[in-house]
Amino acid sequence: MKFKAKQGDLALGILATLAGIVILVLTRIQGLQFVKSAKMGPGFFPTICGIAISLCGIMVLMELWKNTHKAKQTSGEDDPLEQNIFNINELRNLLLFVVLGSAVLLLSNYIGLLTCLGLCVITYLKVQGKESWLKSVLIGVCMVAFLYLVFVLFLHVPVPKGPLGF
Amino acid sequence: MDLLHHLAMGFSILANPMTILYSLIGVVCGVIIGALPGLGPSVGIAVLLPMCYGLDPICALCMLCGIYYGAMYGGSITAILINTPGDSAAIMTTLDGYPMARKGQAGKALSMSCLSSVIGGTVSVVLFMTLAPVVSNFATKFGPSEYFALMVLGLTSIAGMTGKSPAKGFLAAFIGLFVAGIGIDLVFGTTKFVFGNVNLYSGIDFVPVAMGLFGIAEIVCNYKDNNLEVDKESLKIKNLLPSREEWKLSLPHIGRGTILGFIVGMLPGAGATIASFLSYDMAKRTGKRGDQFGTGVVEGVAAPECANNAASMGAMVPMLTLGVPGSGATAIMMGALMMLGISPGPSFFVKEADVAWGLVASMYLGNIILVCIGLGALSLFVRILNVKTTTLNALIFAFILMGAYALENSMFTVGITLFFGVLGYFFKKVNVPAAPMVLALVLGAITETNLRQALIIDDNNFFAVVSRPISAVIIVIAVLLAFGTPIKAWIARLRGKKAGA
Repeated sequence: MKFKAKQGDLALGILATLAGIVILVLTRIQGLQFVKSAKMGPGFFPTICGIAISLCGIMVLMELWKNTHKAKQTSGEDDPLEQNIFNINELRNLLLFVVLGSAVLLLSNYIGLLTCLGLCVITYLKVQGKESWLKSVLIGVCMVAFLYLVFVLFLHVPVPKGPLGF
Repeated sequence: MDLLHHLAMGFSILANPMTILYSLIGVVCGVIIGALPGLGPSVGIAVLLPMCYGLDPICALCMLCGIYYGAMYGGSITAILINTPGDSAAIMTTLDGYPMARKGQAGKALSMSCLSSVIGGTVSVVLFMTLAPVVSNFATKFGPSEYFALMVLGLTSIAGMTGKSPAKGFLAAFIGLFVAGIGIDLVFGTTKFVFGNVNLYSGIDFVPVAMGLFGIAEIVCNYKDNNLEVDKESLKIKNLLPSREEWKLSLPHIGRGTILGFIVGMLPGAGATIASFLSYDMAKRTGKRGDQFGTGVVEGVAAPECANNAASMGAMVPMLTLGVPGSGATAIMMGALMMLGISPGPSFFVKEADVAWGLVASMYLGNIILVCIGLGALSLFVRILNVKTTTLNALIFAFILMGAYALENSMFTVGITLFFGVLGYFFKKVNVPAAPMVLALVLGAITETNLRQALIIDDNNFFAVVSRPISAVIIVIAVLLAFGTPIKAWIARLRGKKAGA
């Protein structure tokens, strides 16, 4: 399935316009006033940002409409708006990072942050890098040792520890 | 005399093995990161920021500056060897650098790139040293109104970072401004967009955002292995240095490029990329071998390289003296300084004289280290290009997550980094630039505070705030910077219509 640049711009424009409106609604719901006691209120900047984000979203849509119109007139084959912006390998890479990052978030307090990061490196090298187990484990252990040296021993960062003590 | 006295003070502060060591680490890391395709100074500083936690401010500053100009030089290594610029500022270097490498002169191109970077860097440090205190003295007359105007000027520099679509650039900037506003309101004490999450009470720091937007987004896109092969013969010392004739041809371009680069670097939003483009173009027009540019002439490497390093120094002037970063990299650096408890601005050279002059001295030191490393350890850096991208990705990812945690000793910042990493990836896909968002995030809180103070002083009269003489001039410059190009186009269209009639 292809996701073209123009579809990306369309989604961006619509989402930005909606996001701006959501910010404005939330500003009202939270009672953040634009002007309070004749002073600049806590809602001053959020309101301006909400309006501006919506306007930028509309401008993105207008730019898209203009560029599509222009592209139709020239009918060039290498139209950048028609190019696919996602590819399956990149999305797989993104998914892997999201899964590994979420695992770090969820498991660090139970098995230790450094252990989690070491496992992350090993898993990534195995899955994405197609490295051998030996090489993956070796790089993972070296990275953990480096992080321990820099952050724990040198910078005294109190990292969540696991049952192994690091 | 005063300048020399201050510089001597700076060197006395630097006479400390740890400072020299951190400067060395910074330059080495900068060159390595700059050499990796796709990773420029912004990514380098953002990824290595965690290493500054808990450091002495001078050591941290020396390291950050080292990363900055190390990365500026590092970008040219891949540009010359494999025709892939490490960052956008090295694009022009590929035009003559790569043809030189193909002619078997890779070593010469690399050494000229290093030496011209160092000359550009050193001369612009002199310019920086002379100009910065003058600008600082002038800026001491600034109050909240003038500061607010300055911040507006800083934000309009986004116009120079927007790429093809200004709407997308400004969209990123306003998202950054919105994120900067999350937390507790300092005047009324009300919470803004925290939804009961105590981690958000103190707001969202720019570091995890920058690490996500630049670092994670970059490694997600960079999944293919490089498969690079470099001719090692051309990297031997005997093949490295340019001849006397080549120096003769290059020096005038280095001189002109340095001054041009420094001036362009000072302008908000212009930056090293534009400086290198302009310098290359000027060298091509004025050079004795102008017609041979693009075929592999050494001046074609010298001109853009000295300009991009000079521009990186020039960009420090508004950042350190006015507190207005003009580029993504300097915005991250400014945030880093604030993280270290240093407030860049007019009083920086007065209140933090030791840090300021230590920094100036460290720039000289950094340049000396750069030339030693650039010429001495070239083959070592080239070997890093042979490391598989997936291996680098895994290591960078672990380092970013660890750094994000170390920022506040909280897993929440790790989550923020991941969130902005994913957002940064989608932004990249739809061509929304990340630099304006980081710039707005850094400047957002300062802008709000200064506007509030100015309004209190001027009895909540906004017109009075922007009509003070200095504020008015700055605001006019900001408007011209932001809307100059559309206004020019509109005038040209009007003239065209009149001529047609």
